[in-house]
Amino acid sequence: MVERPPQRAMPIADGSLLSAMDMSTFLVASAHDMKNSVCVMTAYLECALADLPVEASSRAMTCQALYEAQRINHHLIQLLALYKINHNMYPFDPVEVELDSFEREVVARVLPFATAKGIVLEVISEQTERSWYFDYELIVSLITQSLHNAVKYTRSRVLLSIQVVDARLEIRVHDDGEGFPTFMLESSEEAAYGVNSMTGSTGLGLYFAAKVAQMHGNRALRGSTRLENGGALGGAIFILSLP
Amino acid sequence: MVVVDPNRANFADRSFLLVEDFEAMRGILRELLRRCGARHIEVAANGIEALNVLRRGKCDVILCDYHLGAGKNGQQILEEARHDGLVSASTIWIMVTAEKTADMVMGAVEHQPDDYLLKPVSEATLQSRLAKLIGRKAALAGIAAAMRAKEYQKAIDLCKARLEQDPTSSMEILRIQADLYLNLGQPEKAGSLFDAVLARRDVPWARVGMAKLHIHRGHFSRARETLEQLVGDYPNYLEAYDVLAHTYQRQGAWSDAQRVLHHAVMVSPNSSQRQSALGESALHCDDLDIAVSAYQKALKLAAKTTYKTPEPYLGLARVYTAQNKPGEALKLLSQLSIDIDNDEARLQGKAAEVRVHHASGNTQLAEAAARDVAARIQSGTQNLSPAATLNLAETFMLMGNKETASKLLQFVVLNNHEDEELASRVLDVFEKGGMGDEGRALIKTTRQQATESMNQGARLASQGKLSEALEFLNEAKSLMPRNPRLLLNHAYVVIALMQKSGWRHDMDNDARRSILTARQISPGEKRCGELLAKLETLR
Repeated sequence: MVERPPQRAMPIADGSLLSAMDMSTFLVASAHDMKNSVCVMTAYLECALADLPVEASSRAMTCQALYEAQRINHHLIQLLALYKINHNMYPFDPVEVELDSFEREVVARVLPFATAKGIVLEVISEQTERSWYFDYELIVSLITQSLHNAVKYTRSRVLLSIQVVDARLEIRVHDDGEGFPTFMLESSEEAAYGVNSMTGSTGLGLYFAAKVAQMHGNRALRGSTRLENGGALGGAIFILSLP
Repeated sequence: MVVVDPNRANFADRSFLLVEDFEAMRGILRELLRRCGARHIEVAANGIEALNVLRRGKCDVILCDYHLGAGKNGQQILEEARHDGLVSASTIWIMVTAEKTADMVMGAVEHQPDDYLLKPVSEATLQSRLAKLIGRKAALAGIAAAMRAKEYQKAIDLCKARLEQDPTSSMEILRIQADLYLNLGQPEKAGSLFDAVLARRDVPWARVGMAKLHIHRGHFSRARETLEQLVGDYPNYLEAYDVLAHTYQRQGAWSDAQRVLHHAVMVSPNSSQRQSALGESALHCDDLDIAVSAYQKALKLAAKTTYKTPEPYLGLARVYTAQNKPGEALKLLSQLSIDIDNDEARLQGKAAEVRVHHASGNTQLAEAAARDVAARIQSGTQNLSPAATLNLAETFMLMGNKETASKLLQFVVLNNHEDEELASRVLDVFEKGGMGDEGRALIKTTRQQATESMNQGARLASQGKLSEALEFLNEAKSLMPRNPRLLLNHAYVVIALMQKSGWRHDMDNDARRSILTARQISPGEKRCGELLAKLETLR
């Protein structure tokens, strides 16, 4: 499992050697290493949560720890993927994906956290098509993160809907929370994806989503993302649309 | 939402092997398998342990981590296990990985695992994937078995039946079917499949398939156009780079080939074949340092797999010769004869030796080796590719042995009499030996002679004089043992004779040998598939 750095990190004797090294090599290798640790942490936390009695006082904290661990994992996955995408090194491979198994996979990834937080996770799929065509890993990562966010910000429910609208696959993540702040809905793409010190958002998630959506195409059509408020649950809605 | 799996009970009867080097993760995955209902679970921490477990007894499901530290990676273990027959067609091999890498999505379908699981792996995902894979494996088992037995026509029929039964699995089946048509030498049918897929949606693999068809037909410019557009539209679709580099090489655009391969090895450095192709391009561009490094990587990677090819050995020997290191080159060529034990590789090694001796001024050794190689080639029992034969002829020219050079060149023309491009390359070699005029005349008469033979054989056959035709073709075959057209005519006449007077084992063998040799020389040849299918019906 362990994707080790190409060589053991050596103590660096003088500044000239450091500047001669390509920092991105270290960043990528360390990110891999961290991801391995986070995967193990996540698995242990999920086990711990499943064993904890519902009334245990440490439950909320363990749950929060799980959420944070998953957040780190998402960020690392997305940083690595973006690094590769931007260097034309990501093995982009759209394949035919059966929608019901896709749906099962993303739900399974969020379920422990949702259950621990007492959030109801619902799925509506009005599938006229049994399968669609996309890069499985990228889209799973994207939708899983969106579901995680929704579970965090919602009050009681999260709804995942998958349907085909005008020859595009539309995946929507609804919640019944406060909705997106106005500036996120209104602002231009650059502003929405930028680092915002007020909200603590790095913009990474949305940037990743937009980038991944855009990589997917069918002839002249490209994929896209958008944010809305309202909808079935009255909270925030994240929408991914793939041609 | 609770995912209930109807196949849960099945897992208890199946044997699992878990390959994972990271102890904590191994524990987690084993626990996960247990919770899914698995009862028989073996574990291994690396490739050696995994292969040992498999040698002791087959496992039904293998869950293998891709990155396993310093030893073999998951892909290499899978290839070795398949090669050594440690897994059967019904075994399910799942690669577990923290991240999708290029190595996983590249490469031939038959070397791919059944599925990938991304970490972190959840119980629900594992369970539903396993259930799904067991179902799919059962559905595709027949097709896979037929493919392994090289019964391509049967596999195609099974694909068709499957498509009628379950249209939802269509893309996967269509992709397999297109591969099968190419294997059977029916590029038109593969082409109309690609067209049908592309009419449904823009799918990169179908566009690569189209480009491969252009290459089959010798339409390199069209292949190039298709692929350049494809890498523009999908800059991350790697297979396109390999095929594009191949196209550039065929067009002699070596620096373009080097450029795209350089990019491809940065993305996915673990393919011996790709490193070797980079070495070849760099050698042609006189980038000797890059060539050495790429060929060395190719050899190192090949050492870990069961599939070794002579190319990196021969290529690196050429680079060493160019760098004036004949000792290194000869050492490598003797290593080749140890590592790859077949006639063709030995002959190629011998031909390369001629060049090394010649370049280092060792005339006597060069001539002795050269005579040996020339005799083996002309016997037709051992063969070099036309390109390698041309190289050898060029060496003879440089050594002043024009007679043998001319004979080799004539042999190439006889066996490829319809190939204009090759004829012009033959002429180049004649010109390098200062024999331009004689060469031109010789090429012309040789091509006429070959065409005459084809016509005469066909005439006799069409007049129904099958035995006479066969006698004539057998004689022509000794003169041009590597001419695909002639070989197929031969097979055709043998089959016609059997249709008339009944199946015979020795004749079946004769026809089959001709067809298979022709297909090996000219893989795109449509008649190979037709004649093989006909042969199947005679039995």
